[in-house]
Amino acid sequence: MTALRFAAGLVLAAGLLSVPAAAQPPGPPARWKQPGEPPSPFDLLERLRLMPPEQRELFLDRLPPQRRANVERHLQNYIDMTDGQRARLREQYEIFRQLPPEKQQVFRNLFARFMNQPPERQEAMRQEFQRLREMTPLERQRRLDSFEFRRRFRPREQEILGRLAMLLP
Amino acid sequence: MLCPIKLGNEAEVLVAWTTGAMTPAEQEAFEQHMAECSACREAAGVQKAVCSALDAWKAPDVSADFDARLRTRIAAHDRLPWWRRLEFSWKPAIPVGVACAALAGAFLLHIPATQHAMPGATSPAIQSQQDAQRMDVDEVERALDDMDMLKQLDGPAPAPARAPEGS
Repeated sequence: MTALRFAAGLVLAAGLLSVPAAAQPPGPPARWKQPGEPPSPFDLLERLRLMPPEQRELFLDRLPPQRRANVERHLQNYIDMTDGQRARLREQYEIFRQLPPEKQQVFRNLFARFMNQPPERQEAMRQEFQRLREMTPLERQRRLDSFEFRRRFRPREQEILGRLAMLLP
Repeated sequence: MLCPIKLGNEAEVLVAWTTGAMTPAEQEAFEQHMAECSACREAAGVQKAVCSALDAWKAPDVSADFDARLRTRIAAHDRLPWWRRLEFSWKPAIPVGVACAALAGAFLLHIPATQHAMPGATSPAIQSQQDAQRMDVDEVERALDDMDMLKQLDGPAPAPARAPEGS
């Protein structure tokens, strides 16, 4: 009985270990792509980045002029990043993408409110958001309730930061 | 105190409150907040009721001769010769066999599909031309906007025309 379980365990472990090594592309996606599953938007951007410029133009030509300028600017920023920056961004983007669509929208709305703050307040809020993101939920709550946090941020900033931080795992 | 329900972390706060994991200051802050917030008061009431019900629940006792019967069975098993203790039964082998077959099937079916889904599996020139025509422009635009948002929250926004900082 014990020997049988051991053998079964070995067979299963060998199968599980050999499949990812053979099939997984290198990089962050930890799950297998299902046949027919649409590519992640990040994969689309990677394809755009690696395309010859004239073929990228084919894609950009499909956009109306104003949207094209916006996409072109963001795409150029993306292309200019280092591999490390892209990997970090991908990690954060995949976490964001795991949020349900309505929470993604709440996050975007909060970000729009964040962008309406004066630049020096944005910088302070950005630093605080990065701190909050590294904390556990209870640590975050403690920080949000702390005297120090209330002293540093106005009620509107406190609300934006608190709600933004709570949307991330 | 900011409302835990609005912040979306009410589960942690309520569990910490009912289990006494809060510091006295946190507990006081939360109780003050509950006095003003009916939603939190209601959620705390429900949480407390669940905890009380769990405290009141008693696991059914095992039968009086349970220990004695267990010891008898262990002793009987220990008296068996070693080859009887390794007694082989086909019963557990059946689910293991089915699991192995399913795993092998998944392995064989999955690999070609995954390799096919990997970017770069076909000729890059042909694929990029097809991609350029088929890509969902709205999706790419949204992804770029979202990434720009995350990048700005992660660090200072890059100076667009390399203008000197602080100007």
